[in-house]
Amino acid sequence: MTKLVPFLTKDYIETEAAGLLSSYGEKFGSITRPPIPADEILNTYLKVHLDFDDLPKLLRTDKDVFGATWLQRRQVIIDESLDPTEHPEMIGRYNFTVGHETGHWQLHRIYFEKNPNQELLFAVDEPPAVICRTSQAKERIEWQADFFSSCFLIPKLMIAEWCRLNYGFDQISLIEIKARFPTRRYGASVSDDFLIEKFVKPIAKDFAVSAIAMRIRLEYLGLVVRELESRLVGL
Amino acid sequence: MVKQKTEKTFGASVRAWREEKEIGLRRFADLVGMSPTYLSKIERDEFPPPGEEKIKSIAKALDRDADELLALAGRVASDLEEIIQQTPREMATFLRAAKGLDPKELEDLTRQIERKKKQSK
Repeated sequence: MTKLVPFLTKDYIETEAAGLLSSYGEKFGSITRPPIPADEILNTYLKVHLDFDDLPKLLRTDKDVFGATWLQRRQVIIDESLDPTEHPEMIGRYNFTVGHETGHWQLHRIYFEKNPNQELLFAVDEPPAVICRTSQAKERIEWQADFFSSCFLIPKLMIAEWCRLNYGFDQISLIEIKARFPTRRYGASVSDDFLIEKFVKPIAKDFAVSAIAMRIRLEYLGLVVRELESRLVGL
Repeated sequence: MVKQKTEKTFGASVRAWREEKEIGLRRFADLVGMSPTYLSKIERDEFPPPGEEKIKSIAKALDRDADELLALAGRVASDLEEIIQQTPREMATFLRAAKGLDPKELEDLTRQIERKKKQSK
Protein backbone atom coordinates (compact mmCIF):
# COMPACT_ATOMS: atom_id res chain seq x y z
CA MET A 1 0.00 0.00 0.00
CA THR A 2 2.92 2.33 0.73
CA LYS A 3 3.98 2.15 -2.93
CA LEU A 4 0.80 3.99 -3.86
CA VAL A 5 1.60 7.09 -1.85
CA PRO A 6 4.56 9.41 -2.32
CA PHE A 7 6.82 10.83 0.34
CA LEU A 8 5.09 13.81 1.97
CA THR A 9 6.98 16.33 4.06
CA LYS A 10 5.97 17.01 7.64
CA ASP A 11 5.32 20.65 6.72
CA TYR A 12 2.96 19.57 3.96
CA ILE A 13 1.00 17.32 6.33
CA GLU A 14 0.94 20.05 9.00
CA THR A 15 -0.44 22.53 6.45
CA GLU A 16 -3.08 20.05 5.28
CA ALA A 17 -4.29 19.48 8.85
CA ALA A 18 -4.36 23.22 9.59
CA GLY A 19 -6.17 23.84 6.30
CA LEU A 20 -8.89 21.36 7.19
CA LEU A 21 -9.40 22.97 10.61
CA SER A 22 -9.54 26.38 9.01
CA SER A 23 -12.09 25.31 6.36
CA TYR A 24 -14.23 23.68 9.03
CA GLY A 25 -13.99 26.91 11.05
CA GLU A 26 -15.17 28.98 8.11
CA LYS A 27 -18.32 26.92 7.84
CA PHE A 28 -19.13 26.02 11.45
CA GLY A 29 -17.23 28.67 13.41
CA SER A 30 -13.59 28.75 14.45
CA ILE A 31 -12.37 26.22 16.97
CA THR A 32 -10.85 28.45 19.60
CA ARG A 33 -10.17 25.90 22.33
CA PRO A 34 -9.50 22.20 22.65
CA PRO A 35 -10.54 19.48 22.21
CA ILE A 36 -10.78 19.38 18.42
CA PRO A 37 -14.14 17.80 17.42
CA ALA A 38 -12.43 15.31 15.11
CA ASP A 39 -15.41 13.03 14.55
CA GLU A 40 -17.73 15.98 13.96
CA ILE A 41 -15.34 17.33 11.29
CA LEU A 42 -15.08 13.97 9.55
CA ASN A 43 -18.80 13.29 9.71
CA THR A 44 -20.37 16.70 9.09
CA TYR A 45 -17.76 18.70 7.18
CA LEU A 46 -16.07 16.01 5.09
CA LYS A 47 -19.41 14.18 4.79
CA VAL A 48 -17.91 10.80 5.56
CA HIS A 49 -20.24 8.34 7.32
CA LEU A 50 -18.80 7.46 10.71
CA ASP A 51 -19.74 4.16 12.29
CA PHE A 52 -18.83 1.83 15.11
CA ASP A 53 -18.65 -1.92 14.75
CA ASP A 54 -16.78 -5.00 15.81
CA LEU A 55 -14.07 -4.50 13.19
CA PRO A 56 -12.09 -7.73 13.62
CA LYS A 57 -15.34 -9.67 13.23
CA LEU A 58 -16.51 -7.52 10.32
CA LEU A 59 -13.22 -7.88 8.47
CA ARG A 60 -12.63 -11.46 9.60
CA THR A 61 -9.14 -10.51 10.56
CA ASP A 62 -6.72 -9.93 13.45
CA LYS A 63 -7.82 -8.37 16.70
CA ASP A 64 -5.67 -5.26 16.50
CA VAL A 65 -7.79 -3.36 13.94
CA PHE A 66 -9.07 -0.04 15.25
CA GLY A 67 -10.19 1.80 12.14
CA ALA A 68 -10.99 1.17 8.48
CA THR A 69 -11.88 3.46 5.59
CA TRP A 70 -14.11 2.61 2.65
CA LEU A 71 -13.51 5.24 -0.01
CA GLN A 72 -16.29 4.43 -2.44
CA ARG A 73 -19.07 4.41 0.12
CA ARG A 74 -17.48 7.30 2.06
CA GLN A 75 -17.40 5.40 5.31
CA VAL A 76 -15.05 5.14 8.26
CA ILE A 77 -15.69 2.42 10.82
CA ILE A 78 -14.09 2.61 14.23
CA ASP A 79 -13.84 -0.48 16.38
CA GLU A 80 -16.56 -0.38 19.03
CA SER A 81 -14.00 -1.06 21.78
CA LEU A 82 -13.02 2.61 21.30
CA ASP A 83 -16.55 4.03 21.67
CA PRO A 84 -15.82 6.85 24.14
CA THR A 85 -19.37 6.93 25.50
CA GLU A 86 -19.21 3.29 26.52
CA HIS A 87 -15.49 3.37 27.31
CA PRO A 88 -14.59 6.93 28.42
CA GLU A 89 -11.02 5.87 29.14
CA MET A 90 -10.57 5.25 25.38
CA ILE A 91 -11.28 8.87 24.34
CA GLY A 92 -7.61 9.54 23.47
CA ARG A 93 -7.25 6.46 21.34
CA TYR A 94 -10.65 7.07 19.75
CA ASN A 95 -9.76 10.62 18.74
CA PHE A 96 -6.36 9.55 17.46
CA THR A 97 -7.95 6.80 15.35
CA VAL A 98 -10.54 9.22 13.93
CA GLY A 99 -7.72 11.70 13.21
CA HIS A 100 -5.72 8.91 11.57
CA GLU A 101 -8.60 7.87 9.29
CA THR A 102 -9.21 11.55 8.49
CA GLY A 103 -5.55 11.67 7.50
CA HIS A 104 -6.06 8.80 5.06
CA TRP A 105 -9.10 10.57 3.69
CA GLN A 106 -7.34 13.89 3.20
CA LEU A 107 -3.86 12.74 2.20
CA HIS A 108 -4.28 9.40 0.47
CA ARG A 109 -7.71 9.24 -1.12
CA ILE A 110 -6.41 10.86 -4.29
CA TYR A 111 -3.72 8.21 -4.81
CA PHE A 112 -6.19 5.35 -4.50
CA GLU A 113 -8.57 7.05 -6.89
CA LYS A 114 -5.72 7.55 -9.38
CA ASN A 115 -4.54 3.98 -9.06
CA PRO A 116 -5.38 2.11 -12.29
CA ASN A 117 -5.96 -1.03 -10.22
CA GLN A 118 -8.41 0.74 -7.98
CA GLU A 119 -11.19 -1.70 -8.82
CA LEU A 120 -9.23 -4.28 -6.85
CA LEU A 121 -9.85 -2.17 -3.81
CA PHE A 122 -13.54 -2.19 -4.41
CA ALA A 123 -14.24 -5.81 -5.09
CA VAL A 124 -17.66 -7.42 -4.73
CA ASP A 125 -17.38 -7.79 -0.98
CA GLU A 126 -16.01 -4.25 -0.77
CA PRO A 127 -12.95 -4.60 1.39
CA PRO A 128 -11.97 -1.28 2.93
CA ALA A 129 -9.35 0.68 1.04
CA VAL A 130 -7.37 1.30 4.18
CA ILE A 131 -7.31 -0.95 7.23
CA CYS A 132 -5.39 0.34 10.21
CA ARG A 133 -3.74 -2.09 12.55
CA THR A 134 -1.25 -1.37 15.28
CA SER A 135 1.24 -3.71 13.58
CA GLN A 136 1.13 -1.59 10.40
CA ALA A 137 2.12 1.56 12.26
CA LYS A 138 5.54 1.78 10.63
CA GLU A 139 4.40 1.76 7.00
CA ARG A 140 4.79 5.11 5.26
CA ILE A 141 1.07 5.51 4.62
CA GLU A 142 0.34 4.74 8.26
CA TRP A 143 3.07 7.04 9.54
CA GLN A 144 1.68 9.90 7.44
CA ALA A 145 -1.84 9.31 8.79
CA ASP A 146 -0.47 9.21 12.34
CA PHE A 147 1.40 12.47 11.85
CA PHE A 148 -1.69 14.07 10.31
CA SER A 149 -3.71 12.97 13.33
CA SER A 150 -1.19 14.53 15.67
CA CYS A 151 -1.24 17.88 13.78
CA PHE A 152 -5.02 17.78 13.48
CA LEU A 153 -5.82 17.03 17.13
CA ILE A 154 -3.05 19.20 18.57
CA PRO A 155 -2.81 22.23 16.27
CA LYS A 156 0.56 23.97 16.40
CA LEU A 157 -0.64 27.49 17.24
CA MET A 158 -3.39 26.38 19.60
CA ILE A 159 -1.12 24.18 21.70
CA ALA A 160 1.61 26.83 21.98
CA GLU A 161 -0.89 29.40 23.20
CA TRP A 162 -2.66 26.91 25.47
CA CYS A 163 0.60 25.93 27.21
CA ARG A 164 1.59 29.58 27.66
CA LEU A 165 -1.79 30.77 28.97
CA ASN A 166 -2.81 27.77 31.04
CA TYR A 167 0.42 26.09 32.07
CA GLY A 168 2.79 29.04 32.11
CA PHE A 169 5.47 27.90 29.68
CA ASP A 170 6.65 28.62 26.16
CA GLN A 171 9.19 25.84 26.38
CA ILE A 172 10.08 23.51 29.21
CA SER A 173 13.10 21.26 29.67
CA LEU A 174 13.34 17.77 31.08
CA ILE A 175 15.41 19.18 33.95
CA GLU A 176 12.54 21.48 34.91
CA ILE A 177 10.05 18.62 34.60
CA LYS A 178 12.26 16.45 36.82
CA ALA A 179 12.28 19.24 39.39
CA ARG A 180 8.47 19.10 39.46
CA PHE A 181 8.32 15.30 39.52
CA PRO A 182 11.38 14.12 41.49
CA THR A 183 12.57 10.77 40.11
CA ARG A 184 12.85 9.30 43.61
CA ARG A 185 9.07 9.53 43.93
CA TYR A 186 8.68 6.92 41.18
CA GLY A 187 11.81 4.82 41.70
CA ALA A 188 15.26 5.08 40.14
CA SER A 189 14.40 3.11 37.00
CA VAL A 190 11.68 5.52 35.89
CA SER A 191 12.14 6.65 32.28
CA ASP A 192 12.29 10.20 30.94
CA ASP A 193 9.28 9.40 28.73
CA PHE A 194 7.28 8.46 31.83
CA LEU A 195 8.13 11.73 33.58
CA ILE A 196 7.30 13.85 30.53
CA GLU A 197 4.00 11.99 30.09
CA LYS A 198 3.24 12.58 33.77
CA PHE A 199 3.84 16.29 33.20
CA VAL A 200 1.79 16.57 29.99
CA LYS A 201 -1.13 14.45 31.24
CA PRO A 202 -3.41 17.41 32.15
CA ILE A 203 -2.65 19.07 28.80
CA ALA A 204 -3.43 15.77 27.05
CA LYS A 205 -6.74 15.66 28.93
CA ASP A 206 -7.62 19.17 27.69
CA PHE A 207 -7.03 18.04 24.09
CA ALA A 208 -8.65 14.60 24.64
CA VAL A 209 -5.58 12.74 23.44
CA SER A 210 -3.29 10.27 25.18
CA ALA A 211 -0.31 11.47 27.22
CA ILE A 212 1.97 9.63 24.75
CA ALA A 213 0.47 11.50 21.78
CA MET A 214 0.85 14.80 23.64
CA ARG A 215 4.46 14.07 24.64
CA ILE A 216 5.40 13.25 21.04
CA ARG A 217 3.69 16.38 19.72
CA LEU A 218 5.16 18.75 22.34
CA GLU A 219 8.64 17.36 21.73
CA TYR A 220 8.23 17.65 17.97
CA LEU A 221 7.16 21.29 18.31
CA GLY A 222 10.02 22.01 20.72
CA LEU A 223 7.71 22.97 23.55
CA VAL A 224 9.26 20.20 25.64
CA VAL A 225 13.00 19.68 25.23
CA ARG A 226 15.14 16.87 26.58
CA GLU A 227 18.29 18.92 27.07
CA LEU A 228 18.66 22.50 28.17
CA GLU A 229 21.11 23.00 25.31
CA SER A 230 18.33 22.29 22.86
CA ARG A 231 16.97 25.71 23.64
CA LEU A 232 20.16 27.23 22.30
CA VAL A 233 20.07 25.05 19.20
CA GLY A 234 16.49 26.14 18.62
CA LEU A 235 17.34 29.83 18.90
CA MET B 1 -44.99 -7.15 5.61
CA VAL B 2 -41.62 -7.37 3.90
CA LYS B 3 -40.41 -3.89 3.01
CA GLN B 4 -39.45 -3.23 -0.58
CA LYS B 5 -35.74 -2.52 -1.06
CA THR B 6 -36.52 0.86 -2.57
CA GLU B 7 -38.42 1.95 0.55
CA LYS B 8 -36.34 3.97 2.95
CA THR B 9 -35.89 2.16 6.22
CA PHE B 10 -36.09 3.66 9.69
CA GLY B 11 -32.31 3.62 10.14
CA ALA B 12 -31.47 5.02 6.70
CA SER B 13 -34.02 7.82 7.18
CA VAL B 14 -32.62 8.79 10.57
CA ARG B 15 -29.09 8.83 9.13
CA ALA B 16 -30.12 10.91 6.11
CA TRP B 17 -32.02 13.46 8.23
CA ARG B 18 -29.26 13.65 10.86
CA GLU B 19 -26.59 14.23 8.23
CA GLU B 20 -28.81 16.75 6.48
CA LYS B 21 -28.93 18.69 9.77
CA GLU B 22 -25.13 18.36 10.01
CA ILE B 23 -25.07 16.69 13.41
CA GLY B 24 -22.28 14.17 13.96
CA LEU B 25 -23.08 10.61 15.08
CA ARG B 26 -21.61 10.97 18.56
CA ARG B 27 -23.17 14.38 19.22
CA PHE B 28 -26.56 13.11 18.07
CA ALA B 29 -26.26 9.95 20.19
CA ASP B 30 -25.55 12.20 23.14
CA LEU B 31 -28.57 14.40 22.33
CA VAL B 32 -30.95 11.45 22.33
CA GLY B 33 -29.27 9.56 25.18
CA MET B 34 -27.87 6.56 23.31
CA SER B 35 -24.42 5.11 22.84
CA PRO B 36 -22.88 5.96 19.44
CA THR B 37 -22.32 2.25 18.74
CA TYR B 38 -26.01 1.47 19.28
CA LEU B 39 -27.11 4.44 17.15
CA SER B 40 -24.65 3.49 14.40
CA LYS B 41 -26.13 -0.01 14.24
CA ILE B 42 -29.70 1.31 14.26
CA GLU B 43 -28.88 3.71 11.42
CA ARG B 44 -27.47 0.82 9.39
CA ASP B 45 -30.54 -1.29 10.24
CA GLU B 46 -28.35 -3.86 11.92
CA PHE B 47 -30.43 -3.35 15.06
CA PRO B 48 -34.22 -2.86 15.07
CA PRO B 49 -35.59 0.62 15.85
CA PRO B 50 -35.52 1.55 19.55
CA GLY B 51 -38.54 1.96 21.84
CA GLU B 52 -41.28 4.55 21.38
CA GLU B 53 -39.85 7.11 23.81
CA LYS B 54 -36.44 7.00 22.10
CA ILE B 55 -38.07 7.33 18.69
CA LYS B 56 -39.91 10.41 19.97
CA SER B 57 -36.59 11.88 21.23
CA ILE B 58 -35.01 11.19 17.83
CA ALA B 59 -37.94 12.84 16.04
CA LYS B 60 -37.68 15.90 18.30
CA ALA B 61 -33.93 16.23 17.76
CA LEU B 62 -34.46 15.98 13.99
CA ASP B 63 -37.50 18.32 13.90
CA ARG B 64 -39.55 15.49 12.42
CA ASP B 65 -43.01 14.24 13.16
CA ALA B 66 -42.89 11.47 15.75
CA ASP B 67 -45.78 9.58 14.14
CA GLU B 68 -43.96 9.59 10.80
CA LEU B 69 -40.88 8.10 12.44
CA LEU B 70 -42.93 5.58 14.42
CA ALA B 71 -44.61 4.48 11.19
CA LEU B 72 -41.17 3.96 9.62
CA ALA B 73 -40.39 1.77 12.61
CA GLY B 74 -43.55 -0.22 11.89
CA ARG B 75 -45.36 1.06 14.99
CA VAL B 76 -48.14 3.39 16.05
CA ALA B 77 -47.91 5.68 19.06
CA SER B 78 -49.21 4.12 22.28
CA ASP B 79 -51.74 6.96 22.74
CA LEU B 80 -53.35 5.98 19.42
CA GLU B 81 -53.74 2.42 20.61
CA GLU B 82 -55.49 3.74 23.74
CA ILE B 83 -57.81 5.94 21.66
CA ILE B 84 -58.85 2.96 19.54
CA GLN B 85 -59.31 0.80 22.63
CA GLN B 86 -61.74 3.35 24.14
CA THR B 87 -64.27 3.06 21.27
CA PRO B 88 -62.93 0.21 19.15
CA ARG B 89 -65.95 -0.37 16.92
CA GLU B 90 -66.57 3.29 16.05
CA MET B 91 -62.90 4.10 15.62
CA ALA B 92 -62.31 1.10 13.39
CA THR B 93 -65.30 2.08 11.26
CA PHE B 94 -64.11 5.67 11.12
CA LEU B 95 -60.57 4.71 10.10
CA ARG B 96 -61.84 2.30 7.45
CA ALA B 97 -64.08 5.04 6.11
CA ALA B 98 -61.19 7.50 6.04
CA LYS B 99 -58.93 5.00 4.26
CA GLY B 100 -58.11 6.10 0.74
CA LEU B 101 -58.35 9.83 1.40
CA ASP B 102 -55.27 11.75 0.37
CA PRO B 103 -53.27 13.82 2.93
CA LYS B 104 -55.03 17.06 1.93
CA GLU B 105 -58.47 15.50 2.35
CA LEU B 106 -57.44 14.05 5.71
CA GLU B 107 -56.26 17.49 6.84
CA ASP B 108 -59.61 19.03 5.84
CA LEU B 109 -61.44 16.30 7.72
CA THR B 110 -59.28 16.86 10.80
CA ARG B 111 -60.11 20.58 10.73
CA GLN B 112 -63.81 19.80 10.47
CA ILE B 113 -63.56 17.48 13.47
CA GLU B 114 -61.68 20.09 15.47
CA ARG B 115 -64.35 22.73 14.64
CA LYS B 116 -67.08 20.31 15.65
CA LYS B 117 -65.35 19.59 18.96
CA LYS B 118 -64.98 23.32 19.63
CA GLN B 119 -68.67 23.99 18.95
CA SER B 120 -69.82 21.19 21.21
CA LYS B 121 -67.77 22.52 24.16
